[in-house]
Amino acid sequence: MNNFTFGEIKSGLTAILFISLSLVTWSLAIEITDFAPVFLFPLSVVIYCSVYRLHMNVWKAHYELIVRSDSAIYNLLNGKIRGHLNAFIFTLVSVTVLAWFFITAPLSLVAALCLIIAIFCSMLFIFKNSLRQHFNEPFATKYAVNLATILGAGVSFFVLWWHAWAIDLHDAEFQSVDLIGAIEIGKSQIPNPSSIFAHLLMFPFVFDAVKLWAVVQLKTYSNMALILSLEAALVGFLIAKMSIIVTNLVDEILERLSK
Amino acid sequence: MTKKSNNDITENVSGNASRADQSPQHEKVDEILERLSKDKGASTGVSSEREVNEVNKKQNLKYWFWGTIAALIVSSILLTIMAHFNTGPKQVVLEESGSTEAVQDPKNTLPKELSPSEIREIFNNAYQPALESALARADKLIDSAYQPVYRKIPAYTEWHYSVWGSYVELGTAAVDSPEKLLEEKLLSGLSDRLSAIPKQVVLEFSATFERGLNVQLDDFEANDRKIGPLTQTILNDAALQTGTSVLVVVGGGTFGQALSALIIKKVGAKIALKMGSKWWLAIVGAGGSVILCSWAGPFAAVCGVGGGIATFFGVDFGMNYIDKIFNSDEFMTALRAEIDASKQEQKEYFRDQIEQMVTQQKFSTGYQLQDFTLKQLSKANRESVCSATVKMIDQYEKLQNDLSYRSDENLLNLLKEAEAIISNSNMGLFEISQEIATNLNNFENVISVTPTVLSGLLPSEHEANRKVSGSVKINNVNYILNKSSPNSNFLNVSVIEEDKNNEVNLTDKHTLRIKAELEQHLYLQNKYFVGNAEIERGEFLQMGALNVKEIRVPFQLKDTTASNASFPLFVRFKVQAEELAHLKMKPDCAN
Repeated sequence: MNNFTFGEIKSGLTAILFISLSLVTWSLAIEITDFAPVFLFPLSVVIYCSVYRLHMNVWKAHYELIVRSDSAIYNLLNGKIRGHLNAFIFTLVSVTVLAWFFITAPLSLVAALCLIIAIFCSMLFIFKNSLRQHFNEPFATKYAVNLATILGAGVSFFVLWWHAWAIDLHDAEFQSVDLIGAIEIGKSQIPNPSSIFAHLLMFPFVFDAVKLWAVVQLKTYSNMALILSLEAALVGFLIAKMSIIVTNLVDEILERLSK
Repeated sequence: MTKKSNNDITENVSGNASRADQSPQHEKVDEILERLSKDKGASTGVSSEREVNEVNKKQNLKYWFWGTIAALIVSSILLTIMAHFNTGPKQVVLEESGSTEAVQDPKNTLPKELSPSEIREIFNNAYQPALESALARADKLIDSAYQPVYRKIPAYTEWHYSVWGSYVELGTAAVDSPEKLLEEKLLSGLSDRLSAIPKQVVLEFSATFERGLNVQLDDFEANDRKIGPLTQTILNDAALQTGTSVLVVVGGGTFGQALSALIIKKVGAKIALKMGSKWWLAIVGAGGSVILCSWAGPFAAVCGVGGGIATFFGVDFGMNYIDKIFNSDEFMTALRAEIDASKQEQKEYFRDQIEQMVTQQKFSTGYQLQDFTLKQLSKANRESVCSATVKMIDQYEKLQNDLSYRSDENLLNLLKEAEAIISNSNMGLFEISQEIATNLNNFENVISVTPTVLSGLLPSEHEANRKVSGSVKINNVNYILNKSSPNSNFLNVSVIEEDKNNEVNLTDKHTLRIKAELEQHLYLQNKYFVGNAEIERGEFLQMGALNVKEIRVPFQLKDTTASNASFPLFVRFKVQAEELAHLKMKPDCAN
């Protein structure tokens, strides 16, 4: 483990602490206050910056090698719009999905995922340092991020799938209600229904309830339940990707602060 | 390990460029990579102002970064504390009245759905009184439905023994069935009255069931437990379904009709018998009058016909009268007994129907109430549930009916399977598994055996046509044999009556040990034979028929030093197995 330092462990743990604190605070706050989304703001900023920087570093490396600096289009196509768009979409999707996931997932699952992700975030540095021996930056970082994401996502996906498939209990009522009843169940699960965000939160909850209701109706086709559990586990990819790129940024920040 | 900066590529490519004599292409690459390097300026020297700015930026970043984390930690602690103290009722001032009133926080007034086990318990508590009340109501209604039938019995008997009645019966018997008259005269309206009963009984059941539910729900609410709307819906659905099940099972009309037919079938036999004797008596009476008119010579035929008709009716009237005197009471008693029996059958049928309805309802409710995982759901289609249930029921019934299969191991396997299903809460299998587990846990797997007869052929050297007596000891229980004479050399000695009620209980691991002694009563010196055998319970149960087993026991002369050959005799056993309770919670997989 000669290519793994205390600073890198610190970066990995700080990143996980930052992500989990943001999401835990959000999930606690949504139960009692309308200001809960405020707690997602720092995480959104960090995710945004992480995606943007990673994207731009790679883009610039390609760009500088491809476009001549004295060209008229050199300053025109700097890739910033695409970078911002990319970062915005990823941030919007990941923060929304994770915010929803954290208010619905049981604490034990969240803890297990934090542990798994912490391991793979730390592995990011091992990959990064190893790949630097073969690849130039920023490509070494890019490949390390991809590799850690794939592995972290794979394990998270399996854990999430198993949880959704064999552990997560669904309300018995789904077997006896009609579609409207399923929608009602979905609505009844919204935390703090008097919140101004209740209507917004209603969509994922109702969507989830309707999906489950449909699968219950189609229980003759046993594959439908399997598909639903696999679909529920897809969030694992998002969690892994987000955590690893945030770890990468946190590492850069801490490195910069330590200089 | 030193962390490399983002401008690794710059350094590497720069090195390559210098080695390549600074060609224009490499110069270009250097420029590009220099621009990529963000911290390049630091190594090439910057103004002090830029350094100060950089330091300030770092300070800001540091504050923001760690400050945010600290703020998040503090917030999460504060929010946890707030969430913890946010459970009690809040004192709020109502604007309109100005009064202070304790009002529940909206979140805490959100009703909590009851757990499946709680709802299951509520249902079980509500079913029993409802069942009892419904059965009592059914008995009462059946009694009143039969009341007119009982009232009509004397009148019907009177009519049945009248000349007119007997001729109407006779006529109907010739063209149709005499039972039809019984239906008209005695049982008219019974079908309709009986057909109306299921609905009333179901109403009674539903009302009592609903009352039982409400009482328990009130108790929950009295203990500050809220019943969620969905739980309420399930409870209402159950009450509603309960209200329709019996009607579906019984079906309108067929209920009463079927039982009327049953009475007719039984009483109709007596009527048919009477019809037969009437024809015979009338013919004999008419034939007799022809003989009596033989003195009239050529008018004998006319005298015979007229006298025959008069005699026919006279004899018939007389016979009816005599028949009435001697048999009407017996006929009425028989009729009453048949109606009593059919009424009882009706009640039992009804009890069975209601119990079936409750069973199905419990099964369906249990299925509805169970929280589920997707894995369980994927296996919970009707086909899978039915196939798993049928498999378990088959095993259970094999244990019930096949004594040789009743080993502790097989019992334990099924019990484990049932308990695993209960603990996994497998959908659709919970109720049946619970019933199987309960029954098996209460089952001791004991088999009682009693020797009844010792039989077999004595070898020719011991053949004496003399009486034989003795005893058979099964494990530690002694059975005395009757003293009996063999027919030729065939021996068939039974156990005395008093000992026939002594049973030997065998659990799974017990061995059946047989020790028998026989005494042959000869003129000079009696002969004594002894026989011993041992057999394991499992092996014993595999032999012979279900309730009768025969064991071969080798016998030989007792107390003799001479080596004598043994000869086989057979001990026959009566076997009584502990009854394994019948399953009630079988799901309806037939349709």
